[in-house]
Amino acid sequence: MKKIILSLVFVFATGIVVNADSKVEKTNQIVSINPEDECSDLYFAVRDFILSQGFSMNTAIMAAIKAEEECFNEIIEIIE
Amino acid sequence: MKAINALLILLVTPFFMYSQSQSGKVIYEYQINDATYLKEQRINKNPKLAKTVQTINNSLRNAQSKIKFELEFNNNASRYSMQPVLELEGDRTTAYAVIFLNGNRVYYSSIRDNLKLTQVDMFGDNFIIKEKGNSFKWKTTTITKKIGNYTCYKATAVISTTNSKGVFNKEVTAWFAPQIPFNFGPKGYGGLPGLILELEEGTLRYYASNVVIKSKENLDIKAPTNGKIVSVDEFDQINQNLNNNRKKQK
Repeated sequence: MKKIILSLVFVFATGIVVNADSKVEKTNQIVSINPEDECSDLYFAVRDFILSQGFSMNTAIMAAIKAEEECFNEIIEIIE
Repeated sequence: MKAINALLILLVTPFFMYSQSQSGKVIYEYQINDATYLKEQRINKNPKLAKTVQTINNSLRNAQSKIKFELEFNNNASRYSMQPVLELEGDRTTAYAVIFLNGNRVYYSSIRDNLKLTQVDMFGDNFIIKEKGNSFKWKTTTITKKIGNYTCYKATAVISTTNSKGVFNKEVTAWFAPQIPFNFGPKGYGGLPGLILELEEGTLRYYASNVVIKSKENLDIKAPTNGKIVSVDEFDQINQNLNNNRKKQK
Protein backbone atom coordinates (compact mmCIF):
# COMPACT_ATOMS: atom_id res chain seq x y z
CA MET A 1 0.00 0.00 0.00
CA LYS A 2 2.86 2.31 1.00
CA LYS A 3 4.52 1.60 -2.34
CA ILE A 4 1.36 2.53 -4.23
CA ILE A 5 0.99 5.81 -2.30
CA LEU A 6 4.69 6.69 -2.77
CA SER A 7 4.54 5.99 -6.48
CA LEU A 8 1.38 8.12 -6.79
CA VAL A 9 3.13 10.96 -4.92
CA PHE A 10 6.16 10.57 -7.22
CA VAL A 11 3.99 10.73 -10.35
CA PHE A 12 2.13 13.78 -8.99
CA ALA A 13 5.36 15.54 -7.98
CA THR A 14 6.94 14.83 -11.38
CA GLY A 15 3.91 16.38 -13.04
CA ILE A 16 4.34 19.57 -10.96
CA VAL A 17 8.05 19.76 -11.82
CA VAL A 18 7.35 19.31 -15.56
CA ASN A 19 4.59 21.94 -15.45
CA ALA A 20 6.84 24.30 -13.49
CA ASP A 21 9.57 23.83 -16.11
CA SER A 22 7.19 24.56 -18.96
CA LYS A 23 6.05 27.73 -17.14
CA VAL A 24 9.67 28.85 -16.84
CA GLU A 25 10.17 28.20 -20.53
CA LYS A 26 7.10 30.24 -21.40
CA THR A 27 8.30 33.13 -19.22
CA ASN A 28 11.69 33.00 -20.89
CA GLN A 29 10.04 33.12 -24.28
CA ILE A 30 8.28 36.39 -23.36
CA VAL A 31 11.54 38.01 -22.23
CA SER A 32 13.37 36.82 -25.30
CA ILE A 33 11.29 38.96 -27.73
CA ASN A 34 13.96 40.63 -29.84
CA PRO A 35 14.30 44.27 -28.69
CA GLU A 36 16.13 45.01 -31.93
CA ASP A 37 13.00 44.15 -33.94
CA GLU A 38 10.71 46.03 -31.59
CA CYS A 39 12.82 49.21 -31.63
CA SER A 40 13.52 48.91 -35.35
CA ASP A 41 9.77 48.77 -36.00
CA LEU A 42 9.37 51.93 -33.93
CA TYR A 43 12.12 53.61 -36.00
CA PHE A 44 10.16 53.02 -39.21
CA ALA A 45 6.81 53.98 -37.65
CA VAL A 46 8.19 57.30 -36.32
CA ARG A 47 10.02 58.07 -39.57
CA ASP A 48 6.90 57.47 -41.69
CA PHE A 49 4.67 59.43 -39.32
CA ILE A 50 7.00 62.47 -39.30
CA LEU A 51 7.30 62.35 -43.11
CA SER A 52 3.51 62.20 -43.43
CA GLN A 53 3.32 65.41 -41.38
CA GLY A 54 5.40 67.22 -44.02
CA PHE A 55 8.79 67.36 -42.33
CA SER A 56 12.07 66.84 -44.16
CA MET A 57 13.73 63.44 -44.40
CA ASN A 58 16.51 64.80 -42.16
CA THR A 59 14.08 65.68 -39.35
CA ALA A 60 12.24 62.37 -39.79
CA ILE A 61 15.44 60.31 -39.62
CA MET A 62 16.78 62.21 -36.61
CA ALA A 63 13.51 61.82 -34.68
CA ALA A 64 13.34 58.14 -35.65
CA ILE A 65 16.93 57.49 -34.49
CA LYS A 66 16.14 59.23 -31.19
CA ALA A 67 12.96 57.16 -30.74
CA GLU A 68 14.86 53.94 -31.42
CA GLU A 69 17.55 54.94 -28.92
CA GLU A 70 14.89 55.70 -26.28
CA CYS A 71 13.24 52.34 -27.00
CA PHE A 72 16.55 50.51 -26.34
CA ASN A 73 17.13 52.56 -23.17
CA GLU A 74 13.68 51.62 -21.86
CA ILE A 75 14.28 47.91 -22.48
CA ILE A 76 17.68 48.09 -20.79
CA GLU A 77 16.08 49.82 -17.78
CA ILE A 78 13.40 47.09 -17.56
CA ILE A 79 16.06 44.32 -17.70
CA GLU A 80 18.19 46.06 -15.05
CA MET B 1 22.38 130.43 -48.66
CA LYS B 2 22.56 129.47 -44.99
CA ALA B 3 19.01 128.10 -45.18
CA ILE B 4 19.89 125.94 -48.24
CA ASN B 5 22.95 124.57 -46.42
CA ALA B 6 20.86 123.74 -43.38
CA LEU B 7 18.27 121.95 -45.56
CA LEU B 8 21.02 119.96 -47.32
CA ILE B 9 22.45 118.87 -43.99
CA LEU B 10 19.01 117.82 -42.81
CA LEU B 11 18.40 115.74 -45.94
CA VAL B 12 21.82 114.10 -46.10
CA THR B 13 22.28 113.30 -42.41
CA PRO B 14 19.96 110.20 -42.38
CA PHE B 15 21.98 108.63 -45.22
CA PHE B 16 25.19 109.01 -43.22
CA MET B 17 23.42 107.63 -40.17
CA TYR B 18 22.38 104.45 -42.00
CA SER B 19 25.72 104.06 -43.74
CA GLN B 20 27.40 103.91 -40.33
CA SER B 21 28.38 100.50 -39.12
CA GLN B 22 25.51 99.04 -37.20
CA SER B 23 24.93 95.70 -35.66
CA GLY B 24 22.69 94.05 -33.16
CA LYS B 25 21.58 91.02 -31.29
CA VAL B 26 18.09 89.58 -30.82
CA ILE B 27 17.02 86.82 -28.45
CA TYR B 28 14.11 84.73 -29.70
CA GLU B 29 11.93 82.43 -27.65
CA TYR B 30 9.20 80.16 -28.93
CA GLN B 31 5.66 79.21 -28.09
CA ILE B 32 3.33 76.47 -29.30
CA ASN B 33 0.04 78.05 -30.36
CA ASP B 34 -1.94 74.84 -30.55
CA ALA B 35 -2.46 72.34 -27.72
CA THR B 36 -0.24 69.89 -29.58
CA TYR B 37 2.57 70.26 -32.06
CA LEU B 38 2.23 66.95 -33.92
CA LYS B 39 -1.31 65.78 -34.57
CA GLU B 40 -1.97 62.58 -32.68
CA GLN B 41 -4.65 61.18 -35.00
CA ARG B 42 -4.57 57.72 -36.60
CA ILE B 43 -1.73 56.46 -34.42
CA ASN B 44 -3.69 54.75 -31.65
CA LYS B 45 -3.24 51.36 -33.31
CA ASN B 46 0.49 51.59 -32.57
CA PRO B 47 0.89 52.29 -28.83
CA LYS B 48 4.67 52.75 -29.04
CA LEU B 49 4.31 55.34 -31.83
CA ALA B 50 1.50 57.08 -29.91
CA LYS B 51 3.74 57.24 -26.84
CA THR B 52 6.66 58.68 -28.88
CA VAL B 53 4.46 61.36 -30.48
CA GLN B 54 3.14 62.30 -27.05
CA THR B 55 6.75 62.50 -25.76
CA ILE B 56 7.67 64.81 -28.67
CA ASN B 57 4.69 67.09 -27.93
CA ASN B 58 5.52 67.15 -24.21
CA SER B 59 9.15 67.80 -25.02
CA LEU B 60 8.27 70.89 -27.10
CA ARG B 61 5.86 72.15 -24.46
CA ASN B 62 8.29 71.63 -21.57
CA ALA B 63 11.29 73.18 -23.37
CA GLN B 64 9.45 76.49 -24.03
CA SER B 65 11.00 78.10 -20.98
CA LYS B 66 14.44 76.52 -21.46
CA ILE B 67 15.36 76.92 -25.12
CA LYS B 68 16.28 80.34 -26.55
CA PHE B 69 17.83 81.39 -29.83
CA GLU B 70 20.24 84.16 -30.68
CA LEU B 71 20.47 86.21 -33.86
CA GLU B 72 23.57 88.34 -34.31
CA PHE B 73 23.88 90.62 -37.30
CA ASN B 74 25.67 93.52 -38.91
CA ASN B 75 24.96 95.39 -42.15
CA ASN B 76 26.10 92.46 -44.24
CA ALA B 77 25.59 89.18 -42.43
CA SER B 78 23.66 87.33 -39.75
CA ARG B 79 24.14 84.22 -37.67
CA TYR B 80 21.32 82.41 -35.86
CA SER B 81 21.74 79.54 -33.42
CA MET B 82 20.32 77.99 -30.27
CA GLN B 83 21.84 79.27 -27.04
CA PRO B 84 23.68 76.58 -25.12
CA VAL B 85 21.54 75.22 -22.28
CA LEU B 86 23.26 73.30 -19.50
CA GLU B 87 19.98 71.74 -18.35
CA LEU B 88 19.70 69.87 -21.65
CA GLU B 89 22.68 67.67 -20.86
CA GLY B 90 21.34 64.40 -19.58
CA ASP B 91 17.74 65.40 -20.30
CA ARG B 92 16.80 62.66 -22.73
CA THR B 93 13.43 63.87 -23.95
CA THR B 94 14.38 67.55 -24.56
CA ALA B 95 16.46 66.25 -27.45
CA TYR B 96 13.21 65.89 -29.41
CA ALA B 97 12.50 69.62 -29.00
CA VAL B 98 16.00 70.41 -30.26
CA ILE B 99 15.39 68.28 -33.38
CA PHE B 100 12.03 69.88 -34.22
CA LEU B 101 13.22 73.44 -33.48
CA ASN B 102 16.32 72.86 -35.63
CA GLY B 103 18.45 73.61 -32.59
CA ASN B 104 21.16 71.45 -34.10
CA ARG B 105 21.57 73.99 -36.91
CA VAL B 106 23.48 77.26 -37.29
CA TYR B 107 22.10 79.60 -39.96
CA TYR B 108 24.42 82.10 -41.63
CA SER B 109 23.40 84.63 -44.31
CA SER B 110 25.58 87.07 -46.21
CA ILE B 111 24.04 89.77 -48.38
CA ARG B 112 27.34 90.76 -49.99
CA ASP B 113 28.09 87.20 -51.13
CA ASN B 114 24.42 86.34 -51.82
CA LEU B 115 25.08 83.25 -49.74
CA LYS B 116 23.31 81.12 -47.17
CA LEU B 117 25.12 78.49 -45.11
CA THR B 118 23.37 76.08 -42.76
CA GLN B 119 25.54 74.00 -40.49
CA VAL B 120 23.80 70.79 -39.42
CA ASP B 121 24.97 68.54 -36.62
CA MET B 122 23.67 65.03 -37.32
CA PHE B 123 24.57 63.16 -34.14
CA GLY B 124 28.17 64.32 -34.31
CA ASP B 125 28.59 64.42 -38.10
CA ASN B 126 28.66 68.03 -39.29
CA PHE B 127 27.57 69.27 -42.68
CA ILE B 128 27.40 72.80 -44.10
CA ILE B 129 24.63 73.22 -46.66
CA LYS B 130 25.60 75.92 -49.12
CA GLU B 131 22.96 77.70 -51.19
CA LYS B 132 22.23 81.06 -52.80
CA GLY B 133 20.95 83.88 -50.60
CA ASN B 134 17.38 84.82 -49.94
CA SER B 135 14.96 82.68 -51.95
CA PHE B 136 11.74 83.53 -50.11
CA LYS B 137 8.87 84.97 -52.11
CA TRP B 138 7.27 87.22 -49.53
CA LYS B 139 3.88 88.84 -49.87
CA THR B 140 3.98 91.97 -47.75
CA THR B 141 0.79 93.50 -46.37
CA THR B 142 -0.23 96.74 -44.68
CA ILE B 143 -1.44 94.87 -41.59
CA THR B 144 0.52 96.07 -38.58
CA LYS B 145 1.00 95.27 -34.93
CA LYS B 146 3.23 96.62 -32.21
CA ILE B 147 6.02 94.42 -30.93
CA GLY B 148 7.75 96.23 -28.09
CA ASN B 149 8.35 99.77 -29.35
CA TYR B 150 8.38 98.73 -32.98
CA THR B 151 5.57 98.82 -35.53
CA CYS B 152 5.76 95.56 -37.45
CA TYR B 153 4.25 94.66 -40.81
CA LYS B 154 2.87 91.27 -41.71
CA ALA B 155 4.39 89.31 -44.59
CA THR B 156 3.63 85.75 -45.69
CA ALA B 157 5.44 83.18 -47.80
CA VAL B 158 4.72 79.61 -48.81
CA ILE B 159 7.49 77.13 -48.02
CA SER B 160 7.48 73.88 -49.93
CA THR B 161 8.91 70.63 -48.57
CA THR B 162 9.20 67.55 -50.74
CA ASN B 163 9.72 64.14 -49.18
CA SER B 164 8.92 60.52 -50.05
CA LYS B 165 5.29 61.05 -48.94
CA GLY B 166 4.65 63.96 -51.30
CA VAL B 167 4.89 67.75 -51.58
CA PHE B 168 3.84 69.77 -48.54
CA ASN B 169 3.22 73.51 -48.64
CA LYS B 170 3.10 75.47 -45.44
CA GLU B 171 2.49 79.16 -44.96
CA VAL B 172 4.97 81.11 -42.90
CA THR B 173 4.09 84.50 -41.43
CA ALA B 174 6.75 87.06 -40.55
CA TRP B 175 6.30 90.33 -38.68
CA PHE B 176 9.10 92.70 -39.66
CA ALA B 177 10.09 96.11 -38.33
CA PRO B 178 11.10 98.67 -40.99
CA GLN B 179 12.47 100.80 -38.12
CA ILE B 180 15.26 98.23 -37.79
CA PRO B 181 16.64 98.24 -41.35
CA PHE B 182 18.30 94.81 -41.44
CA ASN B 183 17.09 92.05 -43.77
CA PHE B 184 17.46 89.14 -41.36
CA GLY B 185 15.38 86.98 -39.06
CA PRO B 186 15.21 83.67 -37.20
CA LYS B 187 15.96 80.27 -38.78
CA GLY B 188 17.56 81.76 -41.88
CA TYR B 189 14.40 83.65 -42.87
CA GLY B 190 15.04 87.12 -44.23
CA GLY B 191 14.93 89.33 -47.30
CA LEU B 192 12.29 91.69 -45.91
CA PRO B 193 12.78 95.46 -45.57
CA GLY B 194 13.24 95.21 -41.81
CA LEU B 195 14.28 92.79 -39.10
CA ILE B 196 11.83 89.93 -38.45
CA LEU B 197 10.75 90.19 -34.80
CA GLU B 198 8.18 87.43 -34.94
CA LEU B 199 7.78 84.33 -37.07
CA GLU B 200 4.84 81.93 -37.22
CA GLU B 201 5.71 78.55 -38.68
CA GLY B 202 2.82 76.11 -38.35
CA THR B 203 1.86 75.90 -34.70
CA LEU B 204 5.19 77.38 -33.59
CA ARG B 205 5.67 81.08 -32.95
CA TYR B 206 9.17 82.48 -32.56
CA TYR B 207 9.17 85.91 -30.93
CA ALA B 208 11.87 88.43 -30.05
CA SER B 209 12.16 88.76 -26.28
CA ASN B 210 15.17 91.08 -26.32
CA VAL B 211 16.42 93.44 -29.05
CA VAL B 212 19.73 95.30 -28.81
CA ILE B 213 20.83 97.60 -31.65
CA LYS B 214 24.40 98.88 -31.51
CA SER B 215 24.79 101.93 -33.72
CA LYS B 216 28.54 102.36 -33.38
CA GLU B 217 29.78 98.82 -32.94
CA ASN B 218 30.28 96.47 -35.87
CA LEU B 219 29.91 92.87 -34.73
CA ASP B 220 32.08 90.37 -36.53
CA ILE B 221 29.70 87.71 -37.89
CA LYS B 222 31.63 84.55 -38.62
CA ALA B 223 30.48 81.96 -41.13
CA PRO B 224 30.33 78.38 -39.83
CA THR B 225 33.36 76.34 -40.86
CA ASN B 226 32.93 73.08 -38.99
CA GLY B 227 31.59 70.51 -41.43
CA LYS B 228 31.63 69.06 -44.90
CA ILE B 229 30.31 71.57 -47.45
CA VAL B 230 27.44 70.15 -49.49
CA SER B 231 24.69 71.48 -51.75
CA VAL B 232 20.99 71.17 -50.86
CA ASP B 233 20.66 68.25 -53.29
CA GLU B 234 23.73 66.51 -51.90
CA PHE B 235 22.41 66.85 -48.36
CA ASP B 236 19.06 65.39 -49.44
CA GLN B 237 20.95 62.51 -51.04
CA ILE B 238 22.92 61.88 -47.81
CA ASN B 239 19.63 61.59 -45.92
CA GLN B 240 18.13 59.43 -48.65
CA ASN B 241 21.14 57.09 -48.48
CA LEU B 242 20.77 56.83 -44.70
CA ASN B 243 17.14 55.93 -45.24
CA ASN B 244 17.98 53.34 -47.91
CA ASN B 245 20.63 51.74 -45.68
CA ARG B 246 18.01 51.22 -42.98
CA LYS B 247 15.68 49.62 -45.51
CA LYS B 248 18.42 47.16 -46.49
CA GLN B 249 19.08 46.25 -42.85
CA LYS B 250 15.39 45.49 -42.34
